[in-house]
Amino acid sequence: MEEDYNNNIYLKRKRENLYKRTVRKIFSPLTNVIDGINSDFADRSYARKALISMLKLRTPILVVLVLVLTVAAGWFFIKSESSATTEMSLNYEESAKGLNPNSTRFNAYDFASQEVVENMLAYAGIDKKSVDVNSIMRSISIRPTNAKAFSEDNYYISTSYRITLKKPPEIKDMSAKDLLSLLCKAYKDNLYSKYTENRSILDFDIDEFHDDEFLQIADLLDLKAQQIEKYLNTRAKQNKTFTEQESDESFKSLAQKVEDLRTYDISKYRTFVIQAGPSYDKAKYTKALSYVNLIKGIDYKKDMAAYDVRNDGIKLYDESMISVVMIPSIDKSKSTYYMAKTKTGMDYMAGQADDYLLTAQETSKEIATNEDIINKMNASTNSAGNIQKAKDMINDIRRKFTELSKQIELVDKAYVKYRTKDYVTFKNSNPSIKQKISLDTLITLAALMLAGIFAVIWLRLRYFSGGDRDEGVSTLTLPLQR
Amino acid sequence: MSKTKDGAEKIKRPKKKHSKLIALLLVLLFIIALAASYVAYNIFVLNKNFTVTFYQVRSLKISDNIRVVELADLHNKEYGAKNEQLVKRIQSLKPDLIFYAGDMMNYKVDDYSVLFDLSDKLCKTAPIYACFGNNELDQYLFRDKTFKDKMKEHNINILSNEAADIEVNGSTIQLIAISEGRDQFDVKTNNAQKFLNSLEPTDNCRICLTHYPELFCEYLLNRGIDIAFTGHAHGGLIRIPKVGGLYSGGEGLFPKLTEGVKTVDDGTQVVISRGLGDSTKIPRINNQPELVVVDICWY
Repeated sequence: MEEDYNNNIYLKRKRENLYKRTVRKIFSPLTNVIDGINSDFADRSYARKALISMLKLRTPILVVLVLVLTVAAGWFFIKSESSATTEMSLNYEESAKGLNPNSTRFNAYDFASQEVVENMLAYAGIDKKSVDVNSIMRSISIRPTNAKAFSEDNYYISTSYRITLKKPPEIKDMSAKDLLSLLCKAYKDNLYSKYTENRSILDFDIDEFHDDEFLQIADLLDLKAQQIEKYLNTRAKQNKTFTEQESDESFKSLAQKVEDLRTYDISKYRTFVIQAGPSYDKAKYTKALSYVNLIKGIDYKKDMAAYDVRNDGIKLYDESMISVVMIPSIDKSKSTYYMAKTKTGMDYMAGQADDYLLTAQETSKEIATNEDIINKMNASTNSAGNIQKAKDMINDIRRKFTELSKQIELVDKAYVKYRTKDYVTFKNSNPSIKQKISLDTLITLAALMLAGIFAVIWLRLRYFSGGDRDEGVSTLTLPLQR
Repeated sequence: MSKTKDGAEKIKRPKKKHSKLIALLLVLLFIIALAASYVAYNIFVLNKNFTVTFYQVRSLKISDNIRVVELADLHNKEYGAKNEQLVKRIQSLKPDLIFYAGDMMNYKVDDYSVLFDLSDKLCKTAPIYACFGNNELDQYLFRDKTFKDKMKEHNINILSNEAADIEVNGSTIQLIAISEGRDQFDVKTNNAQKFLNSLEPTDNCRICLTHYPELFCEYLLNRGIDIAFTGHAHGGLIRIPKVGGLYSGGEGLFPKLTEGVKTVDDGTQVVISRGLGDSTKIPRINNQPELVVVDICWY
């Protein structure tokens, strides 16, 4: 046991000595220089001696610096490739008020929303299960580019933002720049689909009416045409002169085309359906219309009763008493009282009575129209030829609608582009080589290394110079290990 | 022998004569080792894999966005068994159209299995449209007259100085394909020139598929082309930062059109693929093979 212990101690010491000798051998040229300077310039301060030592040792110091800085520059360069930055500018009028194009509140952090990030991954062809969506969301930084945006005193709504994305390491076959461009695309798609003008009115599929009765189809077509016409007229009010260059169409000319479709084609179809009475199930349809009339009759009676009650109420009061009523009011701008003439309950009652009468009259008109349709349908023959003709007319209207939709979409898109001059634009910032290798950090690192070498030499000179050579090995290693 | 202030004799230490030279050599060796490692990394790692590059171009003539995946200059290269990796990646990208911009195979190699196996799989993802590169054209003209028909049999819609109207995502695009390179354009009997002259103006988005990007310096300007898909340059083989490609067959030294999307004088947006394979023994440096994905956006 004791022998083993002694052997172990012996081997341990042997290893330590070997290590000490190796270190001494490697550093002996350097320590020789330092020791030499310590004795040659014995009267100088330690700082000066350290500086002179560094000058003497400039070649190995330079080699170490070049190697370390090259590796560091390479590391910074690779690191810079894993992130990308772009500047987003909002170019629509409402952006200055912090709003989206459709006047809903703008939120720059939509950029890092789950929906946008998941769309980005879908565009990149990356399975969202293979990456951590939340960590990608966290790796997106969004900063307003205008410094004033941060100041409470000078509150300012920024219309440009700097977006930075750090590429997750699990995404390997594409660059951070490309991933960021797909994030921008996903954001744009989101913005255009949710926050710009609602153009769903133009997405019209006539086939969705195929289960309806022919007369119902006429109503629905007319309603659709009215909606599109209204949309076009709103656009025409925004810009009366806008014309799409290639088709030479304007919103006004398109609205006229839709109006023509309504007043000619759809009207012609409706008249035919009423006169010829084609129906998939005539008995069922006329019964349904009769039921509608029954309900409408009740509505009519309710409206007329409401009208009569209000009329009677008004008659109970002396008109001369209620014609003018003065009430005390405050003029806030002048902070003074005055007597204002205002509406009373009787005025409201009179207005309501008018509304009820108007509604009742309209209901009565609809009842009369429905009765007329029921009579005509009952009198007509529901032949297969009439049904086919009605279908042909629908197909003709469908063709015209499709053509018009294409034209409207083309003009509308051209207008959106013209009006907004691109709602959102992105400008990629390409960092220079200086930025990529982080030159400032490299300079700092070089300065720190030089300072470190200086400190080591200074400590060596001050505390560990001279003495026994063998002892010197152990003392030499101390400052170098620091 | 000099003396110190206190009168002691100063011992001069012998200087090592070659220390500076050795240090310089060390640094040089380090730099050479770094460069060699980078070249080896390119040859043995980067060039064995492909990267996916995404571009977005705009056309107001389409009603909905269209995604195109462009493959060029494959030169019979395989990524995984029967290009499994390539197929899988393209499937994940869900393209609306797949374009082959030429040189998918090698001239004088009569085994087309790489191209045809790839096409048989890709046609299930999206329709494939192709133009001839110099390799395919030579093969067709001088070696195998049935090559074009064989391509069609394997679901490749090959267009050679032809046009086709394609319906995609509710938009009609006119696809034209040019087979000849710059050298043949000057010949009077040139088919491409005749075809281009016979083209009628169109309101639809006109997309050109041609192997040669350099045609957009002259011959394909002012032809009403909105977007073009090209290859051929192999990214200029060796790419120097801030300079670009070093050499391309069509443009010579320091070519301009080697990668990316370039807008030429008439406003045509030319997409240039760095390609997926190699035709020379010079290795690609700083120029990884790429699969190009182009989103044509309406906004």
